[in-house]
Amino acid sequence: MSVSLFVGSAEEEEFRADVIRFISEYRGLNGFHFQGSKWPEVKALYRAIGQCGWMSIGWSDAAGGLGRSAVREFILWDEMAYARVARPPLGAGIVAKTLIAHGTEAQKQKWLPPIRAGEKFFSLGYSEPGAGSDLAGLSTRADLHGDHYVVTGEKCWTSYAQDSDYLWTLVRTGAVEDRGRGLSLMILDLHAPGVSVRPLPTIDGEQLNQVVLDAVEVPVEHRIGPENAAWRLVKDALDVERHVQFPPARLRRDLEELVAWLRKHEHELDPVVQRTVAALGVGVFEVEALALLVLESVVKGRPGDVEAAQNKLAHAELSQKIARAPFELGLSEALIYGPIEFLYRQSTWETIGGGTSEIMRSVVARQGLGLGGRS
Amino acid sequence: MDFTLTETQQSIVDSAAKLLTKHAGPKRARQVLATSGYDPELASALREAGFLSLMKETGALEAAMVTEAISARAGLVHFGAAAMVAPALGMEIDEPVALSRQRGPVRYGASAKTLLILDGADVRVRRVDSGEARPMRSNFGFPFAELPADGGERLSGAGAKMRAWWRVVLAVEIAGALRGCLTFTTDYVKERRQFGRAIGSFQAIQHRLADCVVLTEASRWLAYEAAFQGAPDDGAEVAISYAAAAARRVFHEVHQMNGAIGFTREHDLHVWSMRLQALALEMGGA
Amino acid sequence: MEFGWSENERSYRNQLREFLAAELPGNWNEMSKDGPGSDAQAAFSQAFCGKLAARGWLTPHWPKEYGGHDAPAWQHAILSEEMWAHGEPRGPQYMNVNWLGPTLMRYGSDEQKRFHLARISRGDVLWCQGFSEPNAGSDLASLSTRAERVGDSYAVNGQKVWTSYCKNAEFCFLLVRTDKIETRHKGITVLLVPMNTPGIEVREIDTVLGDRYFHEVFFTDVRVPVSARLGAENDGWGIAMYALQYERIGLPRYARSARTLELIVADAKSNGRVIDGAFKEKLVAARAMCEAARILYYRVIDQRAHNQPPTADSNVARLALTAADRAVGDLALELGGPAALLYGSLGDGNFRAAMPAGVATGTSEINANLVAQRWLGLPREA
Repeated sequence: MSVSLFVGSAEEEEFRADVIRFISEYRGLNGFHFQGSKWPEVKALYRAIGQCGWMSIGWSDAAGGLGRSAVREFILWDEMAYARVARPPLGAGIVAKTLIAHGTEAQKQKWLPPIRAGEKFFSLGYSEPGAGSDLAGLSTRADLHGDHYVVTGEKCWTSYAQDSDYLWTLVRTGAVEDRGRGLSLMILDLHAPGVSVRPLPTIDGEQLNQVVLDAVEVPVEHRIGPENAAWRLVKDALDVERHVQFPPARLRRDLEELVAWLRKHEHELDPVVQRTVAALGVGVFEVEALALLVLESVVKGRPGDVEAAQNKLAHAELSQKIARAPFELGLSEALIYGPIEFLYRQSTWETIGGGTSEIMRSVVARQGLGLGGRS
Repeated sequence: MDFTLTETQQSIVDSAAKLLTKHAGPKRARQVLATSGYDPELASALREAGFLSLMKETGALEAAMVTEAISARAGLVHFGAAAMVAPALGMEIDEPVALSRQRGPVRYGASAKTLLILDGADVRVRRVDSGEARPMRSNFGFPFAELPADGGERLSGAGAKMRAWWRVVLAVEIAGALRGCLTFTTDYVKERRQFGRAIGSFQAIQHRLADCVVLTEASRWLAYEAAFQGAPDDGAEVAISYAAAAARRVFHEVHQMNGAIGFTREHDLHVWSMRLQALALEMGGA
Repeated sequence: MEFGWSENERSYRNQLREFLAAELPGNWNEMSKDGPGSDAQAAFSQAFCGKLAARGWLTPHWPKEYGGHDAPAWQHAILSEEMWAHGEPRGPQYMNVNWLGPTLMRYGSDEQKRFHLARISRGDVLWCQGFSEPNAGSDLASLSTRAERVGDSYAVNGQKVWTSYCKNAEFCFLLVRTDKIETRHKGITVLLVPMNTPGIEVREIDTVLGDRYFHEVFFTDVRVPVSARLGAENDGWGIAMYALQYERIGLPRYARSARTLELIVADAKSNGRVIDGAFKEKLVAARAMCEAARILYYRVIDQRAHNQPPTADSNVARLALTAADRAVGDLALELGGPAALLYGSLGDGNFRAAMPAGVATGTSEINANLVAQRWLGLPREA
């Protein structure tokens, strides 16, 4: 990666060098993709990352990991983001860390090894048609029948469900009025009878999915943590994963591609273009600084809700500013299919997916600034 | 100065609305976008109804009203080029017409029979032969193509006029697409419930949507005013400058408010929103 | 629908411009730098409004019986535009013409109309507006300045704040509470209070906007005769809302902002500054915002010209006016360079003028609420 605010210890920087070497030597990746339609290639890459022991680099020794600090995880996924090859998979992060903290021995033995090896993959099954920003209002029901739950409902905007093995899903086991206190977490097999995955084509040329669950049987031992206790688990899981969710190097790479594109179309000497790019460059440093505050809170085990919200907000907005620059500058070449145009469409998602900017602003206002919440 | 429609204007607006209810709309736009991106049926319905000669027979303002209505119903025809720009240059030419700045992608380029090329102070009128257009892939709500920009019959000194009318047409089309986005999104935030209430009841949404009203309304009136006044350089520049800025802002606001479903192709928002960017950029964003 | 000016309208505008060119003193820019509330401008405005009145140009759109000429609404719009483009030489009297007059015409007793409208149309009286209170700003219906009925007068106690022009004003258009505080907007009354009544104390508030911009007004046992009440007791809210509909877009602020843009260009040229692409782009964008405000303002004038009741279009226009003011204010600072920081410079003057635009006469937030609810039909926030 080019100039960055973050400099780790000698060992950490050595690790970064290893990661960069791994990426440059790895064959079978060509350019711009995170996942989506390139799934077979990305899956192979995950397996290779697993072989390096890096999928589980931050897990404890006891859980079969390398027991390294959050800084290594940050470096790993930041470099992967810069290379635009992969995002941190849900399984190795939220799923594994929740299992390590709250899972039974049997659950750990069943899922941790294939996650570590980069062989089994998870999709996030939180959102529903009627529960987006208002997650606590979700209504997919799970009713206990002897040794299994029967799950019926509908999840939506589910990324990668078409390629994943499992759905890491929130379901209602209590009353609707209990809101967050009536939810349970479970792992649902996406190939089980009663699961249907319907693609929702999106304007970025990829797809989200609607996952319809029609009386799907989920063994009771696939519930993670106690019944109706999922809310806390979901929040804890976010706390230990937030330093890898929005890698700032992705923005640095976005900006570099923008500059290359401007050069290619011979706009680089325009003073307005130069001023715009300079301002975006400052923005990249700003977001990096915010990302490091998040990393610090994770390393020190401090609550970092506000830092995470600031970071997500700034990261999402800057990703859009970079992608929109050619449009603001009036460069009509940007309309044609290509990397800049893709960034434009993709980044529109950033202020919505993973918690909308509105929710992030509310967190900053209420918890960061101490302003009251609505009654 | 009078913002109320005359009887003639009212009857034009009403018959355009009737025609567009039948031949245009988001569902039709999705079908057309999935194929060539150009809607010959809508084009011939507009021609048969006599709308192409509005500018000559009634006035530029009335032609602008119909252009706005077509865009607000997400119609996929280059009506403004054929019914406003070409007649402003005193030409009766073969439809469909496309407009070119010599460089950059040409909207409706692949279906055009005639190309009007803005060439500095002049305009060149060029026939497009079959096979000359190279379609270019784009997600921005219209079909685009690359076309040769050489040759053609030269209209000396017509460049300024073409530029000004082109700007007015773009401003009017943006105004229509803005209206489409605003109406659609307003309905959506009234229906969509989170935290036990319609999200349209949150001030955070209301204030931003109120700004969108300002941008949409002002874009339309400024564009109409410029059309009425015969596309003076100054008025045309103001109209497109304001509308293009409004397009960029409103695009992001409405997508944010429609959330994840707003990205899916089965949700109608994109038939209006994606074209906003294309229109804002067509003359270099000015 | 048409967007042209009639021969009469064009000639009226030209006459106004000639009149302004003749009447505004050479040091007018210097004189007006402290805003319409300043002593220098107030004194000038008094004489200036007298001259306007003599020509029938102070209240041309009013009915003849109240000292007007039954001129169309568009004439008044042209008048306001030209005045505002020249730094509003009418000073505080723009209020009289824009909203006090129409409100008195609609709600005043015969006696009140005869007395006040005659003076306003002659241009020899200043008013101030007693609405906001320390604890009642955007939430105006929570105002608590009390008026108790004592025989044939009211005893007023309480405080108003952010009151402009009151040092030189003869009357105050005062909102008071005449019922329990819980009645909110149903317990408010309007009084037309002479400012020389014993018990009224005015204190200037030191602000960054200019001299004598805002004041606090304290009322201690101020006796106001019942005959000075406008409309019925507890009917004040409707009257205030009627007045606000006129006040919100009484000011074609865009005319001043558009003029500023011309001055910026002239200033840059005289300083030998190159107007490059980036500069020009910003100017065009800011001018487009002024033009947007203008056309939305015209939309409201058009409704008046057709005698239609006011709609949320006036809130739409107000939002655009504020946005344009801010854009031009920012640009005047940015393009003026360091010299723009000096008091009274082009940059400074416009920036200060733009600052209160989103707060005065109803904040932008309140205007946006009204647009959302009345224009778009969105539900009120619970």
